[in-house]
Amino acid sequence: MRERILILLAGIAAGLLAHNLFIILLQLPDERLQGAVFRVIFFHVPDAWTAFLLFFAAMVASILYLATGNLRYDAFAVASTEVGLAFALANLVTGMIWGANIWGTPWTWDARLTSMLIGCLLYAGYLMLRHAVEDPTERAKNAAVLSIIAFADVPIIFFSIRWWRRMLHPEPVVWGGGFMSPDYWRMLFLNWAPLLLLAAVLLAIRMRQEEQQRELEALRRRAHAL
Amino acid sequence: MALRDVALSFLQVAGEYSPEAYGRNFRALFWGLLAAWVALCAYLVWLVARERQIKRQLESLRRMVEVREEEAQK
Repeated sequence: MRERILILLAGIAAGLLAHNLFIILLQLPDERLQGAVFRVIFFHVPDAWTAFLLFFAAMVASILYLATGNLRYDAFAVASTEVGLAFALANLVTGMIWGANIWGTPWTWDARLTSMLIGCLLYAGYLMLRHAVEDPTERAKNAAVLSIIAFADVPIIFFSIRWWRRMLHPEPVVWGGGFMSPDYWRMLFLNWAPLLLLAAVLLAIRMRQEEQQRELEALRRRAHAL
Repeated sequence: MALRDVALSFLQVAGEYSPEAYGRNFRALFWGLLAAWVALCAYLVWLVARERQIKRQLESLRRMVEVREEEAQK
């Protein structure tokens, strides 16, 4: 049943993406100054929103784990972090390709890009820390603390353009001075929907793996005891 | 933009120079969209591979525990 729901969600996400790609490539006009490469924004920005949402979910789950000691919250936190990191990396890479074309360089050490890179490194560190600690409760406790600390970088990424104004990165279109035509604006949100669905599917698969991993560890302990 | 324009522009990314496609940054759009999907698809493939590995390990461990439990009962 759970498998079927996941396949159904993935199918809906694929259908929506195909529909959106049709509109993005064939119906929306080129941006006046940037040309066709502007369309990358319809993936670049929703990738970032999805990553931030997942990092927020990981932080909430980490707080709940520290409050209750329930390992299911820890499983949710690690799954959210890993999927969030995949979306954050997709955001970074698409941004670099856009930057290489529009700025003439794929990377510049401005606050938005640097804080995003630091965020990715912090969350990669979170995943590496989990591999380094053997004991499940100790691992969950240390990882939960790191997840809460790492989330402090997310508002810095989000508000970096307001706080450090002399930057190359365009102004944000959400809570910022950036402007976008209504057609582009609508597409940005329409394309977020399938990415959110895809994130939900990946999250469910990763959660299931975490449960299997715990079962594996319990079986190993039993095998040792016998 | 006609479907033919898009298809031609994407095909030309492979090597042939097209001033029209180049002017509209189609090459960068192609790589941008490809990168967005390669990152997520690579993660999905890695997830599936890891799930298979965990399932294999679970199966062999279950069998091993069953055998050891039977031996212990004897």
